[in-house]
Amino acid sequence: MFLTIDDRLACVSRALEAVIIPALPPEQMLAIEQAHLSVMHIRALLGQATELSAAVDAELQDATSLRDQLCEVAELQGEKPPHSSSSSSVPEPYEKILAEVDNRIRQISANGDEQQWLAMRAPIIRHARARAQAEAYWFAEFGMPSLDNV
Amino acid sequence: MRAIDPPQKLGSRAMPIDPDLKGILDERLSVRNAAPYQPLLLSEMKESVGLFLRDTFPHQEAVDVLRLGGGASKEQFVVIARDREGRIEKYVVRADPLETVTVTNRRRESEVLRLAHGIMPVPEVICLDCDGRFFKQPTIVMRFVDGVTKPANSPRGVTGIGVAFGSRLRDQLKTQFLDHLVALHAIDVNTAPLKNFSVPSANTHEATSWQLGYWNEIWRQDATEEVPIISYVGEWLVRNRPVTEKPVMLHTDYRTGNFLFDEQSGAITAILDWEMAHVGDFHEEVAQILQPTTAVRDAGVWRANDMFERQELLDAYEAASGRSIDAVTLRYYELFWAYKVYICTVGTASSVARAQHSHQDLVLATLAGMSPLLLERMCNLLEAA
Repeated sequence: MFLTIDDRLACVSRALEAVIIPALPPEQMLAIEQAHLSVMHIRALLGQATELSAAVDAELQDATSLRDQLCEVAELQGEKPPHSSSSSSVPEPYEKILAEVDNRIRQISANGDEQQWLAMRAPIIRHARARAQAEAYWFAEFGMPSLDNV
Repeated sequence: MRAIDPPQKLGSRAMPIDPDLKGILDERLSVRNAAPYQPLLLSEMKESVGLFLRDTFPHQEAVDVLRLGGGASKEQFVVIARDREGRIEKYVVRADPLETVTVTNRRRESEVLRLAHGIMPVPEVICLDCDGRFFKQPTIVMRFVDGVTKPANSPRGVTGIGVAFGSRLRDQLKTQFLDHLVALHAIDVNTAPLKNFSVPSANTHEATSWQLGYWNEIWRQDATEEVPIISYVGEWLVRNRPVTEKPVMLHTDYRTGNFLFDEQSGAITAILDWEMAHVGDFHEEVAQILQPTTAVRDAGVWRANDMFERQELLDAYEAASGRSIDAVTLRYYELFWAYKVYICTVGTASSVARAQHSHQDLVLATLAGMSPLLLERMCNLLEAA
């Protein structure tokens, strides 16, 4: 019976477009710009509230996967990385996993082992591409250039 | 010529920072926990403008002060003044909010504008007020220049993105665009009056190292989580730093959206937004022009800034400047461009918007939308390297 989050966002967007923006004096350029940007952001948010949980899970899974792959890269030289906690039932904070990945990257870069350095490139690129695809959906309404010419 | 450092001894966190920017980077930490920024009231700006005019042009009085749109970094106003004979003069006031998407200062911007004045079309600096003499915040006042940043029929959007000139304007603009750039790079930075710019040593890694140090420190300050490809590219950029034979003055944001032109004649009337200018490798600038965000496809052909196809730009720059573009160095700086713009638009923009430290939090929040393109760009360039 009550309006959903999307319904309310749509109401705000309509109020901006149909009432507020037309009432702004044309010389108020910054206000007009900000109002149009507000509409754009609201449109981008429509539908995303219900999808957020799945998106966060996917991010976490991708990061955990990358950490595990970089541990395998380290094992190429017989290094025994710390026990990976990816098999634990307690979810780890996303930032902590990324911090571990960052440390691993810097470690491998610093140790001078070219084989390890080259081996970690592919999983990092795969991870970045997966993030790019996921984010492209998230930012679809932002009017940014497409991925066609990059 | 490449001088090789043992790369494993110099990780990305060990890069030196441009000496003139280090202080700015330290300063910004002091405002990090400040309360949300309140945009300047028009009444406050009018009062400041009144003080400025009485001191600088006592025969003029302000007729109107209007807030300008556009830009992600400065609060901008246009001042319309009239003298006793009824002549109208116009000025642009650019004032810093508490934090901006670019980490620099008005002294550098003012100095490079004065340097470029007379060499290429740039706004004339009338006043630099960093001491609160007239204005509440660090402010530059420049003479207003007529012109537009995009054709009248362009879609609404974030600065420069998706702006198409069409064939008539393209032909009128491209030669000027290149000629002004070449003129900038031709300035002798060793003899130019530059108090606020350090000049990296020629034939060393310094030009690149300073930039890496600067951007790495910004990332360290602004990132709320690590991004694996940024960590990797940061290390890659250190390991593969080119030597800069002869550092030159760079604009480094030289693109559609950052110059004014007369839509009828096609004349470029002013080059804007000099705040990221620094002395460095000319390849950095060429790479910036080739970047994809302001590229436009017309009849199946991609053109950088809707002006130049890739090889066309490289050939034209070499012919006009007398320099030879090193393909490997160029590719390096193309990757560097994606790296630093990611740090700027995802790291800094998000950080400043979250803290509500600018008058354009919404624009800053929008800039994060460049992330997918930048991630993909870094992936493609790494694979091609």
